[in-house]
Amino acid sequence: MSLQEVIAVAGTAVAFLALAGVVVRRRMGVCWTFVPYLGVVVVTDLLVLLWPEHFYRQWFWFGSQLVINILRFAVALELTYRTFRAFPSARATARGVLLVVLLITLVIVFGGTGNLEPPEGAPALGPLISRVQPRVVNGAIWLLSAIAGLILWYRLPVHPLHKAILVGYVPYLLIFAVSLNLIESQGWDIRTQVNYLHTSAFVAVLAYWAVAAWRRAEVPARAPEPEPSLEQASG
Amino acid sequence: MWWMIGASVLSCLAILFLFGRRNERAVRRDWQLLLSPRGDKVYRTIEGRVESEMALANLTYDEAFAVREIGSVDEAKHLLDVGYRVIERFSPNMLHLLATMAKFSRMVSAMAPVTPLRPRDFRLTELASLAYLNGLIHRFLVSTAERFRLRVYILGQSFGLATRALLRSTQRIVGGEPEAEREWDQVDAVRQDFDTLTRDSLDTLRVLLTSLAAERRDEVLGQLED
Repeated sequence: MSLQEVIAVAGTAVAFLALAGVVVRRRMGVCWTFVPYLGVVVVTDLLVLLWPEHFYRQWFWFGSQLVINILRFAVALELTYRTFRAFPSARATARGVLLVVLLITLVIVFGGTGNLEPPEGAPALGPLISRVQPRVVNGAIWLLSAIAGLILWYRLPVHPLHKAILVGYVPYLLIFAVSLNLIESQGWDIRTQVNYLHTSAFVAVLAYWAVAAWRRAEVPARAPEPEPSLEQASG
Repeated sequence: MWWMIGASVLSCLAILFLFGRRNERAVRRDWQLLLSPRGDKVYRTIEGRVESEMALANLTYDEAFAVREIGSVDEAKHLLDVGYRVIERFSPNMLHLLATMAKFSRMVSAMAPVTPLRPRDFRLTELASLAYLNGLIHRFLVSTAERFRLRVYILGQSFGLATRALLRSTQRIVGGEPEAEREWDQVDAVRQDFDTLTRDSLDTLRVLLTSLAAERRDEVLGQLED
């Protein structure tokens, strides 16, 4: 078994573990779109592992990434809705900020990709993978960062699974974007090494989500516990 | 292309750092406290603490002025020094309280209106100028939350200025420098300004708690227990 296959098997197993954790701990309702997201990851990984001759193809990778991109944005928007719905002031700001980030993402994806003809030695879908996909991924990073920034600014309470999704996703997507940029700048010859980099990062983030999904629910913190910050602030 | 990566790296590092420092339990506890009847008790606790600390400082200064009247200058200087130490401990507590209020003001959906500080309430020229500045900028701000945070900021700066002025005057009097008589008047002025700043800070806290009381409690508490 090659290293690439070992990473792929580990990724599928951990993604399945995370999905099982969400289902067994009855956390589907915490973020509905996260369930199909993990489901698509598990199914596409399994298809490639079981029938590589049919599914270890660029069209399949690009198609699955398209679905994953859509689900990723859906997860981000659902997180926003669930976190901000009870806070009208923060919600109004979030609406404006997210609209701006989505518009910027659309502009850089559709306006700045240039010629999509594959250069010498690159596969037919090469420019879409190495030029368009990183822009979409960067847009997702900014979107998730904007949500996280607003949560921090307004000091909003977040569900542990939502926090795990945000905190896990941003660094992984960054590594993914850097990997695709490396392919674009250094050429397709380095794609095997680059694949090791971002698939290992994805396995790590899936493991983090699996831990978060399986973690038992904490008893909600109650007021009579240690002094809250407003009381402490008065000395 | 690499500028996008740069922006992503910066946002990623900021998010990881700030989320890493955030204490989720403290956030939930603060929300639960502020959305429950216990919030009212908090105000009374803080008010009690602040007023007793300020009363202690006033008592010491009154004693210092009285002792000075009967001619015991050394004892008056000693009491003045004690009074300064009380204020030295009190002032950072007030700054911490104001910083916490600014943080909590972001958690409120709709902030109750606040008025700017009134220049005529202050005896120190620097503090009166800051109050004028508060009144001026207040007119240019649109939301009540921004006006609230401006008031909190001006109060914080005023506490800093008043503490430094008190330190200068106390050092001059204790050091027996010339024109020490005028410094006694300055100490009296700062002391009164501290009273005003403390009262204004407590009024600001009351506005914050009133605003938090108007929050949609059930929905937020429901989200906390998800």
